[in-house]
Amino acid sequence: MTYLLSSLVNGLVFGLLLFMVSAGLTLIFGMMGVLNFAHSSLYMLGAYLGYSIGRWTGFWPALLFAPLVVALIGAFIERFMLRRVHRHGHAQELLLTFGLALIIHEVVKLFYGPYPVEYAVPAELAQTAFSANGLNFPLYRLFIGAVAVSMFVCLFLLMKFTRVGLTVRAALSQPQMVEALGHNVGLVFLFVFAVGAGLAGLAGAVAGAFYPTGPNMADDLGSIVFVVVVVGGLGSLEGALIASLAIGLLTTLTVGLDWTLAGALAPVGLSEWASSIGGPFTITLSSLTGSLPFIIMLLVLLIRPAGLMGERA
Amino acid sequence: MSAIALSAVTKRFGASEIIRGVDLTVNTGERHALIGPNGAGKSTLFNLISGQIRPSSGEIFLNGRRSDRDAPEMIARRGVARSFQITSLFARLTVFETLRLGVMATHGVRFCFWRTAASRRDVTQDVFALLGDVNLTHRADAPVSELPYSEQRALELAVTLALRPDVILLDEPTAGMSVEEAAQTVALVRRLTAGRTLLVVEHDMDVVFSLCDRISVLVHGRIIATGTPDEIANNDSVNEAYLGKGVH
Amino acid sequence: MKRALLIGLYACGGLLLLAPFWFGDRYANLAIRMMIAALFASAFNLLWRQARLLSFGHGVYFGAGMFAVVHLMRAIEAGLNVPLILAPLVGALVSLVVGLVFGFVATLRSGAYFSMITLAIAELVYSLGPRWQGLFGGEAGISSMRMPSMGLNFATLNQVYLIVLLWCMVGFGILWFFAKTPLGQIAFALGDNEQRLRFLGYRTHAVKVVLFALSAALSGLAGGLLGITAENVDYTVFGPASSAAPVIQTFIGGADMLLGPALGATLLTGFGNIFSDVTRLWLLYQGIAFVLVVLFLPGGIAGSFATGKRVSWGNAAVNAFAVLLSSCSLIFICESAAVLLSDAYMSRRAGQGGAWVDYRLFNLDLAPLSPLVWGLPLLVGLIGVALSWKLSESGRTA
Repeated sequence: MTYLLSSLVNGLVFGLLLFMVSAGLTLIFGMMGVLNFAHSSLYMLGAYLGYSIGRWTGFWPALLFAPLVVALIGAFIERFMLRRVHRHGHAQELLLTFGLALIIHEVVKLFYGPYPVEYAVPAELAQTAFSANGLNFPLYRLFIGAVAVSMFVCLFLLMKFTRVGLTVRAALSQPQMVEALGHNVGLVFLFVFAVGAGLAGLAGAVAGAFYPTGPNMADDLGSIVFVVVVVGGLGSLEGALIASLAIGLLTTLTVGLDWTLAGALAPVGLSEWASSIGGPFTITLSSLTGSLPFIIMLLVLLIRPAGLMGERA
Repeated sequence: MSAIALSAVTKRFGASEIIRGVDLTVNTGERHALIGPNGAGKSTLFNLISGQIRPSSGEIFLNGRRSDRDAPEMIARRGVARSFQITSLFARLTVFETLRLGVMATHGVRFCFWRTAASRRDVTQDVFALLGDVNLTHRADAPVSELPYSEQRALELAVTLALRPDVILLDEPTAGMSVEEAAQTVALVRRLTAGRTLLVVEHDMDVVFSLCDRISVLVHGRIIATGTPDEIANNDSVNEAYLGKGVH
Repeated sequence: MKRALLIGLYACGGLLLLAPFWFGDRYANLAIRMMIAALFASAFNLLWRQARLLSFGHGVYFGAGMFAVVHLMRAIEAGLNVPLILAPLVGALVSLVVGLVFGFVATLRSGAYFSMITLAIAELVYSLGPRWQGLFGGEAGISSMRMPSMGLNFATLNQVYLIVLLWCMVGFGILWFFAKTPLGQIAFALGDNEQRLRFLGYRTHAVKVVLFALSAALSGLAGGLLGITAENVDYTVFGPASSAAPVIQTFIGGADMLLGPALGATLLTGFGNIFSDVTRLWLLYQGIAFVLVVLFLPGGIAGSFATGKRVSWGNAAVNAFAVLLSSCSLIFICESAAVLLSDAYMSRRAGQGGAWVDYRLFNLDLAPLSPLVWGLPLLVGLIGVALSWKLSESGRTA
C-alpha cells in the first residue's frame, strides 16, 4: 500500500517535471513550427547554471537567475541563428537545434567535466514532508510539484487573459495579419522562444538539485520529452500535461515491479517452460522501465496517430 | 448513372459550416461548371470530391460507388483526377519527369526498381504525346521551377490529364491569365477532355458560358441553381446573388 | 581542358582507392573506416535527398547489420560454411527487415514527427540493448574472429579492405542506379510534393516504407562491414553518437549531391582519426563546424563548389584563409580553456597557493592573465570573421 502511495506521488511529481520541460517545447513548436532539439540541453544548462550561480549567491537567487540566463541564451539563439535559417525551411531549423544540442553538451563537459556535479538541495527543503509506514517522503519532491503547477497556472493565465497572450495566440495562426496590425511579430517569436527556454531552464534549476546533474541529463530526459510531445499532440498544452502525467506515473509505478512474462504464464502452468527459454520471457517489467515511454509512443502511433489531443498540421 | 453525385453533403470546420447541404449531380460526359462568389465553398467542394477531406455528413458517389471514405490515392486510381488552383508541381523535376510520373501510374509502373525509368519506351512515348498536346515539347528538359506562369498552368493541366482520367476536376484553370491565354487554355481543355466528364470551377463567365453544358451556382455553401447557361443567365436569384445584375 | 582535369581526378581517385592494398595496416584501417562511414552517410541521405525525411535514429540499422554479421562470424567459427565475402549481405538483409518494421511505424507521420519517432525508436533499442544478453551480449558485447576464406586468411586489414571496397562499390552503385528507376523518381517527387503524388494515385506511405527499408538495408551493409573489420560489437552502436554521425557528415559534406555525404564522411572520419588523439575537444569542434555549415553554407562543402556561381579563385582563396584564421583562433581559445579548466591545472594552482600559473600549450609557455594570450587570438579570429563577412557582402552586391 505504501509502495503504491509513494509511487503515485513520485510518479505525479516526475510527470509534472516532464511537463515543465515539454510545455516549453510544445509551445515553441505549436507557435513557431520549430522543433527545438536543444530544448533538453537548455534544461541541462539551467541545472548547471543553478549549481554555479548557487555556489555564489545561494539556492534561492540562483533559482531566479538561472532561468533568466537560459532565457537570454534562448533569445540569442532565436534572434541570431534560427531567424537566419528560417527561410531555408523547417528541416534546417531542426538541424540547427540538433547541432546546438551537441555543442551545449560538449561545452558543459568542457567547463564542468564529464562527471555529475554536487548540486544539492538546500537545507531548508531537505526535510521529509511526511512519513508513511517507514517510508520518508522528501519535501523537495513536493516543491518540484508546486513549482510545476504554479508554472502551468501562470502560463495558462498569461495566454488566456493578458494582451501579450492574446497577441501571441493570434501570431500563431496569422503572423502576417498580426504584423499588418502593427505588432512586431519577430518580437513575439523571440518572446515565445525565450519564455520556452526559460521554462526549461527553471525546470533544470529546480530538478537538478534533486536528480543527478551531469552531462547525460539532457539525453536522458530529451527523448522522453519527445515521446510526451508525440503522444500528447504537438502544440497542445493540455495534451502535454496528460501525456507527461501518464508517462511519469507509468514509469514510476513499474520501477519496483518484478513481473515477467514467464510469471504471467503461471496460471496456465507454463511459467517454468517459459523461464527455461529465457530471453524475452524473463525480462522483468522493472528493467523495461527505461524503455516504457518509447513502447507507449509506438503503441499510440499505431492506434491513434494523431496523438491524444490531435495534431496541429 | 452519374459520374459524380453528392447527396446532402455538409462540411464543418470547427464552428463554421462551409458546405451546408449540397446535392449535385454531374452526368457522365457532361461539362459542368461550378460558379459562385469567393468564399462560397467551391474549393472545399473539390477537396471533398477528390478525397482530401471527408464530409461531416452526407454521401459522395463516383460512378455509382460511394467514395467519401476513400483515400485520395484510391479515388485517383478510380479515374478521377484534379488540378489545383495554386499550381502544385514538383520543384526539383523537369517537365518531362513530372509528366512521366502521371504516365507511369497509368502503365502500372510504380514499385519498379530493377530497370531505369528511361528504359520504358512506351512510357516515354506517351509522355511526348502529352507534351505535344499541351505545346510543351520544346520545354521537356526545363526544370519546372523555371517555367513562366502560363506554361506552369499548362503543365498543371497536362499532369492532371496524364492519368487518362474519366472524370476531371479543374480548379480555376484560367486564373491569372490574359484573355488570349485563357482562350487558348479553353480550346486546349475542350480538345483534351472530349468525351470525358468535366467539373470546372471558374470565375470567368465567358469561359463558363462557352465551355460548359450545365452550370451550378454555389452561394454560402448551398447550390441555389443548376441548369444550362441560358437558364442560369436568366435566373433571377442567380443574377441577384452573383452576376450582379439587378432584379427587375 | 576540362576533360583532362576530369580524367586526372578519376585517376587520382582510383589510385587512392587502390592504395590501401599496399600500405600498412594503419592506412587500411583508416581507409576502411572512411568507406564504411561514406556508405552509411549515403544510405542516410537516401531518405533526405529524395524524400526529405530526416532520420535521427539510423544507428539502429547500422547496429543491426553489425550484430548480424558478428553472430554469423561466430557461426562460421563454429563450422558454418559461408564465405566471408558474403557475410555483409546478411547484415543488409537483417537490417532490411528491421527497417521495414520500424519504417512502417515511423512513416505514419511526416516532418518533425517522423524525426522524433526515429529518435525514439533508437532510444528504445538502445535501452533494450544491455537487457538482452543473448542477442547483444550485455556490457561486453559479442566478438568473433575472421576465419580464412577463399584462400585468403584475412589476418591483415589490407585483405579486409578488399571486401569493404567491393561491397561499398555495390552500395554506391545501387544508390546511383536507384535514382534512375521509376521508384527512385517517385521518391524525388515525394520530397517535393507528397500531396500531388497521392492525387496521381500513388500510395505514398508504401513508397516511404520501401525507401526506409532500402536505406536501412544499406546502413546494415555498412554496419556488417564494420563488424568484419572490428571483429566485435556491443550495444553502444545503437547509441546517439552512431545516429548523429551520418547526419553531421552528410550536411557538412553536402546533402543535395549524391557524393556529398561521402565527402563529409571521409573528411570527418579522417580528421576525427587525427584530432581525437590530440585533443579531447574534437566533438566540440565537429559540432561547431556543423552549426556553422547549417547557418552559413546550406549546401555543404560539395554544394558550395557546385552552385556554379561565378566565384573568382582569388575570393575563394581569401575566404579559405579567413576560415583558417578563425579556426586557429577558436582552437587556441578552446584548448586554452580546456587546459585551464582541467583537474591537472587546478591542482597545480592549488600547489602554488591559488595563483594563476603558466600553462603549456602547443609547446608554448603561456600566462593565463596576460592580455596578449587572449587578445591576440581574439584579434586574429575577428580579422578572419571580418574578412569573410566583407567577401560575402561584396559577393552579394556584385
